[in-house]
Amino acid sequence: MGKIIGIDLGTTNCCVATVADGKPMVLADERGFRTMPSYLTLEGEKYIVGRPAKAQAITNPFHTVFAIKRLIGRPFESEQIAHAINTSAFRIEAAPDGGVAIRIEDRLLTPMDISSVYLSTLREIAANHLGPDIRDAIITVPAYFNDNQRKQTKEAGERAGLNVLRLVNEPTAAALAYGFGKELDKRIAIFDLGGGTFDISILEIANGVYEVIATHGDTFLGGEDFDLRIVDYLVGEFKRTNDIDLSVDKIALQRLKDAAERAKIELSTQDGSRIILNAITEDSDMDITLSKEKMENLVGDLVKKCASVCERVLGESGLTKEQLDDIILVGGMTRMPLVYNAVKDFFGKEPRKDVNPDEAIATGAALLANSLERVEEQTLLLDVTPLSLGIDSFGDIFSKLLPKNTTVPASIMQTFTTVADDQEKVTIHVRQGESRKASENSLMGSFALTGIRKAKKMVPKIEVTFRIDLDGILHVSARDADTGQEQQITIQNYIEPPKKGKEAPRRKGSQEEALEEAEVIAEADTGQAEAVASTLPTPREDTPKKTSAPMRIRVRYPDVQTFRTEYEDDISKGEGFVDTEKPFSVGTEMIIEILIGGDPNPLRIMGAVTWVTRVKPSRPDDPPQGMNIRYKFNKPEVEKVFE
Amino acid sequence: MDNDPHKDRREAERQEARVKIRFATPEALEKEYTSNISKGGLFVNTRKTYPLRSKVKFIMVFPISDEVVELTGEVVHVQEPRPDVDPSQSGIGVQFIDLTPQKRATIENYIARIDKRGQADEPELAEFGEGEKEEPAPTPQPQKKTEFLKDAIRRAAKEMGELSPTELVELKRKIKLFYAKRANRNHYDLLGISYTASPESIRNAYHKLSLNFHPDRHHKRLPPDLRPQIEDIFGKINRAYKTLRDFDSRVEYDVSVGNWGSVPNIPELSEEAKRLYQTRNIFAKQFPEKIERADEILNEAEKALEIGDKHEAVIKLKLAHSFDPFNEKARKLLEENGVKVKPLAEIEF
Repeated sequence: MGKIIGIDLGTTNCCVATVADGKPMVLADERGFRTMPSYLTLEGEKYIVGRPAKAQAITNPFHTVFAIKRLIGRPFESEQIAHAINTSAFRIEAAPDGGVAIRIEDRLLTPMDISSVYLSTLREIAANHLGPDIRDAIITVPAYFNDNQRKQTKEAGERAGLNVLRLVNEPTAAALAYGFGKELDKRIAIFDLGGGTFDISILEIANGVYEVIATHGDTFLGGEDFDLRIVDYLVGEFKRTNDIDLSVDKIALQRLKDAAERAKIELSTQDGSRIILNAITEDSDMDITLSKEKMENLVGDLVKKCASVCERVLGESGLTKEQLDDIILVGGMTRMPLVYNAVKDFFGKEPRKDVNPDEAIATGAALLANSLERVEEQTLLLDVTPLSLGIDSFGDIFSKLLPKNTTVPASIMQTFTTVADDQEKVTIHVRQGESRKASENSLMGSFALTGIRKAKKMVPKIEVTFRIDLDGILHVSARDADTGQEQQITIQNYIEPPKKGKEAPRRKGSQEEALEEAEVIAEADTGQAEAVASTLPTPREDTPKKTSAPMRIRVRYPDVQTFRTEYEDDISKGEGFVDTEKPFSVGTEMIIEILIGGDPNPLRIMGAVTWVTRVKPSRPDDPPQGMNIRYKFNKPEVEKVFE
Repeated sequence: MDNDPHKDRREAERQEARVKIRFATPEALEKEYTSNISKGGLFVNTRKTYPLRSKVKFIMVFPISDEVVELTGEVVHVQEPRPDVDPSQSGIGVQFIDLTPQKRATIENYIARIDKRGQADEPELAEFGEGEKEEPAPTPQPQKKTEFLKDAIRRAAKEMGELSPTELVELKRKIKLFYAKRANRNHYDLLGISYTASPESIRNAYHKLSLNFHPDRHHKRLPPDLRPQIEDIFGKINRAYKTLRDFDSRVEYDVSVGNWGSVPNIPELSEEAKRLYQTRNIFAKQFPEKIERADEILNEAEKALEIGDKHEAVIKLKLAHSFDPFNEKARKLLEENGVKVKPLAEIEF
């Protein structure tokens, strides 16, 4: 059996470890470095990853990618992505699935693609030590990662040829590293402030069991943000003294960011740092001295934000500060005296530094792998789900099925019913978040249960089961207790469509086939319109009477003949495939507007999505992206077109 | 089996029939034991018929070790072979007369310890002999080649980290035991702790059970068909612990199950809660039989409520209340049914 490795796939640095002879061991690259910067660039056809990629970032800012973990699994239309676009020199575009992609030269890479390159590299580093048969891995994720971010990370691992045994939360992994070789009976807090994300978890450790009591975090708060604060300051100072705005110059910004990171590190041990950047513009240099005090002013609110998260997690744990025996610091940012002191002040005790903040997470993942393999190892991790999971119900109420901090694995079944007579279908919208308003939580996906036996309203019993697995990934199934009709879904990599009023830039496809264009018209409308029609304990329903606007797509045919061909091939059979880069989720009902030739009046037929392909074709003979639709229409009416 | 069936039947009527059952595999025995034998009976699939109420002596031969347990049973049900009925449906239902704890233990011990090497794809009840005949010659040994293959598969499975047959038996036994002894009990019994357990011992019990049942403790060695059970068990353990871990929810739970017998060892117990616990404690010590009787009557009252006999229920509830004025459930039900009860603080005894 091959060795299992533990991988810390960090925002700014990665680390890989294993357990040998019962002891955890960080695996260094061939030059002896124990961590790998999460940077990537292209050199010809080859990816350059890690230290060499970081080294050339200043000279090649447009094609050097970093901090990709902050982008993974996020919708393009989000505050965080907008922020990233403004602050990154590399180009961030909208991906077909609603997420983001990064353009490097002529390539378009998703965060998942890039993560998978990092993971392959780490796998190679491990293979140099352990032999080539490395397959099984445990990958760490921020505790506060949501379902989608987790799934994308897992898929990245699989693409890198790894068999991802588990996704483990970073602070929990760090706790394992902390507890290794000790007989503990303690309650601890793990304060993990890394390059891009912040997590805090409270654990109780006893009898070899590491039980997470509560966890909280912010997946967009880390060293990156501290650096950007310093960059902003430098830009402002430079403008004041030289009257030149550097914020439009991406090359200058990249240099500033690099300098800011170094200054930040310097200021952990010194009281001042002089930032000298020659030829920051064609004819001017930068020479600014940043005092420690000034820097601490710049980032003060970020540290306060951490403290407020700590406050919340304490509340959720039901413990007081005094009941915590130890506070453990993890993540490079905890080296900053300001952060250290803030933690010390908040918890009222000296935080401990006995784990290596850069390596503890990978080490912990490796220890977990070891405990899974060796039953005699009396170690057990009891982790929790960071976010509440539930479904939409009437009046935009979010009904939680699995509240946050539920120990995983867990499952719950609840029975729902219909609200209309003879209703044959219910659609269930699954969300994740803490808001009581359903619409304020992130939509993870929706699915429909069809074929419910016709009955008076409130009579059918629909059993919805939520099961959250050990990776923190949700599986949902719905079953009509009467007919036994069942729908099981693992919510696919689903990224919430953009909110109304904004249209995500889309790449135009070039399908020159009969279906010229599948156009998404009212995608955004539906998000709102659909949030109306459900009652609890009844999930949202789709009644024929529903007046709210459903999804619409528009398909154009150059002339009657092409439509006729398509009709005879596909539509008449009641099912067809529509090529689109933005397929709707399975079960979505829609109106298909068929435009033929120059006729301005569309032919409207109903349809529902039965399956989708979201994988971007990479070769010409790969299946196209799109959705398969089951049509519902009046044949004679459609055939009239041919007359 | 080669005898004339009529002769057999006459013999069976005259004297105690003897049946030898050889189980092909430990699983077969285990399955039969847990689903039937442990409950005191067994259905024997046979085309031969036995009269109702006749005694049958069973010699159960265990696989591999050839250990034997003898049991005597009485035929309580006969399904005659009929041409229109699937032959697997015909046979006799037997109730054991002498399934003593020792005999149970023998079977259970066997199941618990036996390593299931040499299992074969044979029917559950491999052999069914009758009368005082010698057991027929053992079936020919499986071909060496298939045996070798099976062995290779087993070794490969072990390589992949699957459970060994012994471990599997042990795990299945644990699961079965949990469902039999703990799953449907109250949270305290489920965790195996006393009503007065301290938070620390609750936690330790939870940790111990988690180390036994959390899916990670079996990891990928867990056969897929057992995973749902393991996850279900872990879920139950979790719920019990989460309820009892938190002080408020523990007190609430205690009240809901009528557990007023003892002051739980919780440092942060409020004065009022402590007083109530103590009052009830003294009461329980003075009148244990009253409390016991109250519980019984309360049960009957609940049954009456279930079938909608409110009149009967109220009479019984009042009776239960007079036996045990601290019984929260009785108080609650009385109030729900429109009967006023004195507040706890005013009760004297």
